[in-house]
Amino acid sequence: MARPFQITTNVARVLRALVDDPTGQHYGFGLMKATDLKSGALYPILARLEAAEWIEGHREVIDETQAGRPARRYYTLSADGVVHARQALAELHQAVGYRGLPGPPQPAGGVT
Amino acid sequence: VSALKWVGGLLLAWVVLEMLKNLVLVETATRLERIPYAILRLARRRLPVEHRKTIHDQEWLPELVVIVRETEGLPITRLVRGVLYSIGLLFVASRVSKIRAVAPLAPKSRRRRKRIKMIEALTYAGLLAGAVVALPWPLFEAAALAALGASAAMWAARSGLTLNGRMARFAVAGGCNLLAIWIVLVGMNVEIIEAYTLPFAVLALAAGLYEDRKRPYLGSWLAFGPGLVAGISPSLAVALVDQNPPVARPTLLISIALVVIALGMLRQQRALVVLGSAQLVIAVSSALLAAELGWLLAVMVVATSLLSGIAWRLGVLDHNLQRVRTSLARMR
Repeated sequence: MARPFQITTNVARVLRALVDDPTGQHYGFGLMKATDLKSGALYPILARLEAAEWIEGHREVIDETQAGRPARRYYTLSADGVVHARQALAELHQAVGYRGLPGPPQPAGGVT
Repeated sequence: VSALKWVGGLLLAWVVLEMLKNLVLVETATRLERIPYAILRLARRRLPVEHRKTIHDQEWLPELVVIVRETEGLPITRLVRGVLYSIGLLFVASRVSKIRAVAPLAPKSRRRRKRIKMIEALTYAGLLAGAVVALPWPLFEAAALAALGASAAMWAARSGLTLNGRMARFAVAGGCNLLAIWIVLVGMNVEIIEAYTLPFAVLALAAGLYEDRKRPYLGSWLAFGPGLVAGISPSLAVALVDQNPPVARPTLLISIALVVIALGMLRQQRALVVLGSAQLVIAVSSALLAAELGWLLAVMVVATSLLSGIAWRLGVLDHNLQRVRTSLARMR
């Protein structure tokens, strides 16, 4: 099935962070830390994922005066999003021939 | 004694210098803290007006507050992190807003879209059949048409529509409500139609405010336009035609126009300001013409044109002055 966007390395990083906690509430700053992406790279990806309905945006319900800060926006993976994200990551792994982490490096020329 | 004076003087100078140093430090720290917010405000200006609230006010700004708060006591780290966060968004602001603008149009699954279309068609068919059956009874006919209009407006506001589809549904909604109001007015021989149209306009305004809050992607024209036009245009049409209007009509029309303009200015909604201004111009003109004060209307038109011309000319001069200043600054 054609995807509404390309699964680039950065998109895969975001998907990985989301799939690691599929029911969690993901905030922009938290995702920046988890993916090591800058805001300029992260927010367009989040907008694309939301446009494709893989994630859903919600506003935090807090007493802003008591919290001393404005309510933040967080994202959760949608039911379809979990399936699509896992499938996309699996396809990506398959495309690069990923078979788990490599073992320790072997010395060149073998052991005498 | 002179040595004591020297010591005293030095102490005083030290105290004053310490105070000055602290003041400068606080001033510098405060100004540095504002830099990330200032950059983020620039990013906000790159967003379309209808997206500023949802993207900047509700998402980017709260995150910046959290980033700044997390690095409390580390002024340089805070500055660097805040500036990096804001600068990143400054460069992608327009891209994010473009993606978000398409968000409500995101394709849904084919089966779900089919089901929604079928439910919508059934709703229209049922209400249209009701309107046809109610033809001999004007009041019921008006009620059926109003229900049809309200239903079209509700369908128009949902996400996942193209702009044309949304506009068409809003047009149907406005037309049906206009027709319903007209049937009530003709069928009941109403003397002061504002008794019916203006409450509808207030309702349309409240509905527009709700829609604007719940579905900001609609924009002010779609949220307020159809309801206000349907609510106000019958009164305006009658006001233009009626040679002997009741005293209450111009007062009511002008009052509600002023309320609409004030609301538009407060909420920075272009549709409200434009529609309110149009209503105000028509209401004032018809009131002046009815009072045989056409000359006053002519004076007002000339004065407005002159003022607009002067304002435009001053704007051009100011723009030229800014260009000269920028050029001079570059020369240094």
